[in-house]
Amino acid sequence: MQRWAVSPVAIATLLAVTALCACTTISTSHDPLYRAQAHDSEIRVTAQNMQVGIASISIEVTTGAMTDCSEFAVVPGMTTRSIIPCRVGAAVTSNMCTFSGAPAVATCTARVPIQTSTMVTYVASAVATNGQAIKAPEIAYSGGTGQPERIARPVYWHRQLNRVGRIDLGVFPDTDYRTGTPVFVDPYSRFTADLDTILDGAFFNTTDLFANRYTGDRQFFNLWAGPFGANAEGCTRTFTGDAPAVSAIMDGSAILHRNAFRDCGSITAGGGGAGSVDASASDPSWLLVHESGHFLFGLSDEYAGGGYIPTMPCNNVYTTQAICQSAAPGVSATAGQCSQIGSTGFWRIVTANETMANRVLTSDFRDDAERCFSNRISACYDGDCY
Amino acid sequence: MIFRHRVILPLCLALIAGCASKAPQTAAAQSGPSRAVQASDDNRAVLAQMTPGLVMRLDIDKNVVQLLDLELALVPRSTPPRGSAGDQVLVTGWRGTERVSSVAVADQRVNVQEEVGIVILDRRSLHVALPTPRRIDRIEITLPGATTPQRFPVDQVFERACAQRNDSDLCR
Repeated sequence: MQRWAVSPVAIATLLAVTALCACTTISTSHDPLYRAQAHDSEIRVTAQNMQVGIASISIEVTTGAMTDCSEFAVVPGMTTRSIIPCRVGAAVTSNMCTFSGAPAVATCTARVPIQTSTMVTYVASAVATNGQAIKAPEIAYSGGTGQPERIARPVYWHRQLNRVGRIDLGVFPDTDYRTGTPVFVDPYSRFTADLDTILDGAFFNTTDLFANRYTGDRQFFNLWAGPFGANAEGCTRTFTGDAPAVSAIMDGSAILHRNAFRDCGSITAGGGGAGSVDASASDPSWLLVHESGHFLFGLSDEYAGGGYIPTMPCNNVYTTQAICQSAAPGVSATAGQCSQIGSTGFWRIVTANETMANRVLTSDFRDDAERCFSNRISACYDGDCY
Repeated sequence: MIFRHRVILPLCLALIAGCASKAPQTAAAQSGPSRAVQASDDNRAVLAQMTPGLVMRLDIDKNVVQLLDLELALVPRSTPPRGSAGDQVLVTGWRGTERVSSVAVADQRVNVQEEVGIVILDRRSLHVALPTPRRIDRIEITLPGATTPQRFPVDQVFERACAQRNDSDLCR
């Protein structure tokens, strides 16, 4: 009975607020995220209003040829190619779903056939039965054959929003997609299939706890596919051909590889860090979140046998127990939750399964790692991630 | 407390039950006619964030920097480095004594390899997009902890680009 002394009121209040709330929410996605071949793409918009229900959803889809912007005389008299793509010859189509019976949750889909190099953008909006409207920001992605080589190919791009308020993550194919692929298979297609699976599992995953930060805050990420030219082997990473120019405008670059080696990432908090992700592993999305924890957020490992740099501006490991214990209250932990990482002499705060420590789908960025992630997202929210 | 339970919980359950009765619906959209979009309007927000710049690769071996693959391109405008990202390499474009632009990129010297630990890369490649809204004649690169920058002339890149149209802003 004592257990129920407080919680029923809290639960009832929460449920009542949820039920009474006339809030309309909207979420958008597209599938596949990116394919450099002819295919049909589906844009999926889900709106929710638990009290009065959804009346309609509209999806404004714009498609056109993706270019390197050289047709725009940004520098008068000079042809200057862009690493970020432009679009020409675009046409916009309005798509509408109307719903009878005021469903609390309604989903509207629009099919987009893609042939040659195309940039697609969509803007979704929903109207509740009481007239309340909500609009999601524009999302851009690309697809199709014959894409310009020396550009970043948008996979999930907030095209209308300022880039400095987004974390730009580029994903590049390792050369072993070429060497390890049968001649009748397009090696880049094999890469995009892996990229789709991995990004979907990290940024569009409401099932596994490890993905909840990236999924919940994906509005602060731009996701890009890079061209061939990258190669990772251990911690050695090389970018040649068209890849360096694309990597140059990313906050972080992940090289997907299929040959076997232990993944490696720079301990950098954005501004050009990089790492590798084994796409042939059984949990590559988890690997991406872990490795990008190193190269986007400057996080150290928290398991015995990993790597620890306790001098980053935002730390998740400590050189002494005392420093750890003094840091713990700042992340809602207790001094007693400080634990030595094996016998390394480094200390960490242990609250539950942690993505920088535990290779399980139920891990998360927790305590101080969560603080480093949240600080960065807060900076993005304020308009400048790095 | 019992009174609260008797009032709030049934109210809540009734509200939830009412909402739950509305089954989710999925529908395929009905498409309207398409209309053309002006390219200048379509790309305005993107181009507004872009500026002429130099894209380059820095091959670093201990304290020695090589500047490679230098190319003019449209690159995103950058914001001044805030120094919150750990060790950074500072790349600055100069025209005579005037500092035109600078950008900081993360140094990738310190790495962590899974099940191995810290790996220090004396040799690493960094990729940089330096905005150059105006012509520059040299680039200075400062490694973390270094007191003096390493200087590289970049005149030739602009000479090539400006060979045909020297009335461009970038060529003056």
